[in-house]
Amino acid sequence: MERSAIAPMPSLEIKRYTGIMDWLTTVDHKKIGLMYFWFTVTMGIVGGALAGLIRFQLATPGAVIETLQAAHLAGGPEPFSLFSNGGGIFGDQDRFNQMVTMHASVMIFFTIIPGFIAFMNYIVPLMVGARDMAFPKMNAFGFWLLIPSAMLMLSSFFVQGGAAASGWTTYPPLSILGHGTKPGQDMWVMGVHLAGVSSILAAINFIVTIASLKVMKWRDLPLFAWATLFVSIMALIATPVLAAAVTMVLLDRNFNTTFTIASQGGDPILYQHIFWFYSHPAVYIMILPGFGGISHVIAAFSRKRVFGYLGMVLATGSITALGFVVWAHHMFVVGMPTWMQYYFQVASLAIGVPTGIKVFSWLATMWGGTIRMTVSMMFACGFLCLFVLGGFGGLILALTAVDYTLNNTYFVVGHFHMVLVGGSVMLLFSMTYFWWPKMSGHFLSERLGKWVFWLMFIGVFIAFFAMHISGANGMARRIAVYYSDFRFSNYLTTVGYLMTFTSACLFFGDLIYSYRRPKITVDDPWQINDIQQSFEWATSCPPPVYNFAKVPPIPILEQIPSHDHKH
Amino acid sequence: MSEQLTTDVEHHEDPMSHVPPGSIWPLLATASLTIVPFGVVSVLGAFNATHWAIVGPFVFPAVGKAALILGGLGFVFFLMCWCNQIIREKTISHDVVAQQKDLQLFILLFLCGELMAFGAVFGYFYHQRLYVEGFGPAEGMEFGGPTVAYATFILLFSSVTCEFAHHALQSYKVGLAKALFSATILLGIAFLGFQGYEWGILIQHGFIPVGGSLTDSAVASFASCFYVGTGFHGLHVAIGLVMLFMVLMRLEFGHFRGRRHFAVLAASWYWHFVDIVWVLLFITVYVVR
Repeated sequence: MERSAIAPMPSLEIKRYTGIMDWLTTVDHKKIGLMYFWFTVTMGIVGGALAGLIRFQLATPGAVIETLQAAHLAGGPEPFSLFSNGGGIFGDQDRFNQMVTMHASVMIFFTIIPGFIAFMNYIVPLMVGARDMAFPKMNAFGFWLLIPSAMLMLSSFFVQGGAAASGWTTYPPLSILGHGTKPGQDMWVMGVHLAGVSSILAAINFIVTIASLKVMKWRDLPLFAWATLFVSIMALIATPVLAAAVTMVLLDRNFNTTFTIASQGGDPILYQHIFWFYSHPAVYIMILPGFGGISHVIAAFSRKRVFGYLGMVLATGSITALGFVVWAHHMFVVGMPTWMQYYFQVASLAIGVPTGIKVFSWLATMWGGTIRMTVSMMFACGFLCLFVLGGFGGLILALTAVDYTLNNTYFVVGHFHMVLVGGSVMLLFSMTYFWWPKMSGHFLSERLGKWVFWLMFIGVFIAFFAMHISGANGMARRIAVYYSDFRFSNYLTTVGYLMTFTSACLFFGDLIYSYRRPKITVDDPWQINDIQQSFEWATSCPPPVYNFAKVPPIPILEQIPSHDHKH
Repeated sequence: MSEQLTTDVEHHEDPMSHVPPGSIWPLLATASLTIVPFGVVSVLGAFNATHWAIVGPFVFPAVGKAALILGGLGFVFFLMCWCNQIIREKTISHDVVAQQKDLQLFILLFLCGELMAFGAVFGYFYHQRLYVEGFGPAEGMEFGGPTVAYATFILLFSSVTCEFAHHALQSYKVGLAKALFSATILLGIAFLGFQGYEWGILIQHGFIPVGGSLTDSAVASFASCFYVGTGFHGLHVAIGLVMLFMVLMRLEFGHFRGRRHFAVLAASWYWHFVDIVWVLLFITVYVVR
């Protein structure tokens, strides 16, 4: 509250750039947020295309083992396929593994995490009434670092031996193979280093921005800002550990250490523990910001205050805390002691409790509200359906005994795609439809948006529900071929993929076309200002470079009564 | 609450006056950092001549080596330019004291991240210590002699001089502060010297994980942990030295005369952090058996 004595900058000394140089030198959180956004959209298409290659391989005749065997017995030509050791048109099955690895890496490191950072960057300073992030230049640096990171990972496809093929989890000894001759894995590791530095810097920046630049009290902080805060704490604590884990792989590959080489005293399972100590929190890094954003969407389009504000904050906090103590449920089958399996099973199931609190609070927010079914709201509802479904798959997998059977099958793949695509990606879409008018000054099409939604909702459901079926029947993940029993469910998944990808393309077109629609002239195009508790609707669309002529926009602050803490 | 804010915030006619100027340095720093990983792969000799279309001249390890040096130096140079711009910016978005608090929070959070990275190394160390038979230096090997004791004592002492330097500056004794900071830097360099000497002797005796005289895999694992733990720490000592050196230079230029001491505080906290980590590392490597 002591933000007094704002000294004016001597305007004569300031050199302002224009045009392309303005974007290259920008330290404005809104421009950086938009750059994050477009980077994310581009990388989403790349990652989606990689997924497409995986899906098309699994729909070709050459992916069915019986067909392959029949062809071999008859001495006929190899059946058509994209990735096959007998001559696929895109290469051998190692290429398929590269596709799987890079699809995951691109989607995690360059699409979902930066996708949320785009909104955190653009919206959070506006929401808390700040003029910019606490460290604007560091913010720019954090964004630029993603570009060499993506360059490293994607260019590694074209070097000797191709890209990293050991899965995004980089488990040794697979990831140690080919050291000195196949640089793809080394490039992947250094790409992760750069993305990690970017993530840590962004996290520090968000924590300081929220803690220090907010104009409201903690108890009035919008839920999206709370979620940003918790996610940043997670990213700050977990990411250095990931850096340490992948550095071990890099050192073992190139500098003669033995951290992960079992024959020389190292411990590959310990690597897995260290890796998942980051990567389980990373799962929440990929969903919690969306949890925060969706609270605003549902409240806005139900014309009600979000139900159970304090419960929401505490639930987010407990997911953050629990997220750090459940990592080993990713590795039940490595042969850990029974007490550890019990502990990690119970702790993993416990995460269902705060998540349930959040889901019920969203439903209670809608209950009795005046619901407006905008596309943003449709995506929010679609998220609730698919996320809860995917979450139940997670409860099943958290049971150690069941996990022994389902481990490394498509059931796991189906589960995490249902919560990542049905969850995080739906949330990103919902948030885009909600905040794009603020970010660009133009609406996205509500009519086309309904097509985007239904195609995506049905496509995601078909694709990933079918994966659960394949997995429950025993289809192994990361394999380019399968027995004919799995043919139908794989075709279904490919059909679902096509629908989802079509929907994403429609969305992309609409995004570009939106700039040709009339400019929004009001501050609050959704007319929701009276029920939102944040400041981003109190400035023009898009906001001026200084966000608010006065800090804070006091008239809005007075419109918002403080929360009723009795309920 | 609102009334108080309205009266506190001083309003200017031109809101653009609060908008900081753009900066090219983050982009240039990133650009020079970009070529470093390509240089690393190139130096390892892992690109071959058919990669022209993708990585261009990086197919030659010599180019990779040059890129490594140029990229690294360029990164440091552009970071310096960046710091310079921040130092030169006369005004900031809000008042100086608040900005100082933000920066302090920044360095604290940054150190938390660093601590987690070291935590992974320590975690690995103790896991191996608990579960691997014979994890430690080879039998009958000269390990952790008086050199380490000297080095530890030197680093601990440098933390004390650093603290006194900070106090001297706070009570405006600039000459004393300069002398004490110089002493800290010299002690830090001495520590790195001792560390290098220690490494040299161990390597001479073939104490390296792969390709040395070690036949026991548990000892090889210990050697990996030893070099990476102390090497990572040494890297931090080097970074701390750069920070202290910048503080010394800025004192020479007459900075830090007023209430703004952030760079001093940051360097000092960082140095204490490095010191604490060394104590933990010392106990982990040399004491716990």
